[in-house]
Formats: sequence, C-alpha cells, structure tokens
Amino acid sequence: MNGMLEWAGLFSLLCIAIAMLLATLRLLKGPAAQDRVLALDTMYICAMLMLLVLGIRTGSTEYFEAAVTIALLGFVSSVALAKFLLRGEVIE
Amino acid sequence: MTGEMMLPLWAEITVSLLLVAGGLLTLAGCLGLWRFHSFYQRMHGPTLGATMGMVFVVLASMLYFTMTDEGPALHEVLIAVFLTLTVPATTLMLARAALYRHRRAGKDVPLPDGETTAARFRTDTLDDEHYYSADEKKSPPPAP
Repeated sequence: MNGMLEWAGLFSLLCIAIAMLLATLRLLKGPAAQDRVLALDTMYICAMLMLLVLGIRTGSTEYFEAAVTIALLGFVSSVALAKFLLRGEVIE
Repeated sequence: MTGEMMLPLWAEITVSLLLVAGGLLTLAGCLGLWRFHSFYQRMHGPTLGATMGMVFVVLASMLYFTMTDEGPALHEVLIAVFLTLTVPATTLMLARAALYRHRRAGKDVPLPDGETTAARFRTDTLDDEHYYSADEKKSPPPAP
C-alpha cells in the first residue's frame, strides 16, 4: 500500500515529461513564431508542475520555491515575447 | 520518502488520484498542442494543463504537506492564484499578436467569410496551409 503514492507520482512525472516532449516538438516545428512562443509558454507550466510533483515525491518543500520562481519568470518572459510579436519591441 | 509512513490511507488514495488526473490532463493538453491544425485551435490545448492540471497537482501537494507537516500547508495557493491570474493574460496577448500578424499578412482570420464553426472540422480551411503560403512557411514573415 505504501508504493501507491510513489507509483502515482512516477506516472504523473512520466505524463508531464511526455507533455514537455510534445511541446518541444511543436517548438521545433513551428511553423510560425507565435506557435513557438505558445510551446515555450506550455513548457514552463509543465516544468512547474514537474517540480511540484517532485516535491511530493521527495517530501521536501524546497521544490516549491523553485516552482514559484519558474511561474514568475515564465509569465514575464511569455508577456515579453508576445509583446515583441505584437509591437516589434518589448519596452517602448 | 520521509513523511509517507504517517500518511493515512484515504489521503494517500486522494493524493494519488489527484496526481494521476493532473498528469493525464497536462498530457492531453500538450497532445492538443501537437495535433491541432491551426494556431487558433492549438491555443486551446495547453490551457487544459494550465488550469485543471495545475489545480489538481496543487491540491495534491496541499493535501500531502498538510498531512505530513504540522498545520495546514497553504503556500501552494500562491501558485494557483498567480497562474490563474497570469495565464489568461499571456494567452490573450499571444492571440492578439497572432491575429495582428495574420491580418498584416492579408489573411482572413479567424474564419473565412461564410465559414461556419461546424464546417471547420470537415474542411481544412483552418489548417496552417490556409494561413501560410508555401514560401512563407519556409521563411517566416519579418517582424512588424
């Protein structure tokens, strides 16, 4: 019974890893710049979820701070990239 | 796996179910990102993982650390609230950027005239080929 949580965490990690792989494929394939930005946006959310699952698996709360940092920086970078696509420059 | 021994059975089952559901939802969203035919369809996929998948994983984390540590672990709510606020903003900005770029390239977006929503899955008018000509796909259009 003790292994159930471990297997569930492993399964969840595997699912998120495959999801990141699919996002990477979309990042490489394109075909337009906005598709690549969308793939990057997806990848930071997947990385954040992966860190949360890793935190549950190891039972330590240190992963949480890394997840918050990824969420903050991912939002800023996605907004900057979308703004660049829209206006041609980030800060005007 | 330090605190897992003191986790009661119902909490372990709930955390496992939430983790599995979150992972599957994220995978389904990215499958949509990879499989859909146009950018406007592809935008819908990852939001599945960014909303429901994120909520399930955050709930699992909250329950786990509430049961293993002393007192309620509420700091995961920070991630949930922050992502709920920011993900629609980035998606909206990206959609506006894509609309602007498509219209600037002279394309009829998001649906061609007279096209109904029911017909979009029968025909391929929403494919990338509708939005990009062959030479455009080889070299992306210059930034505005």
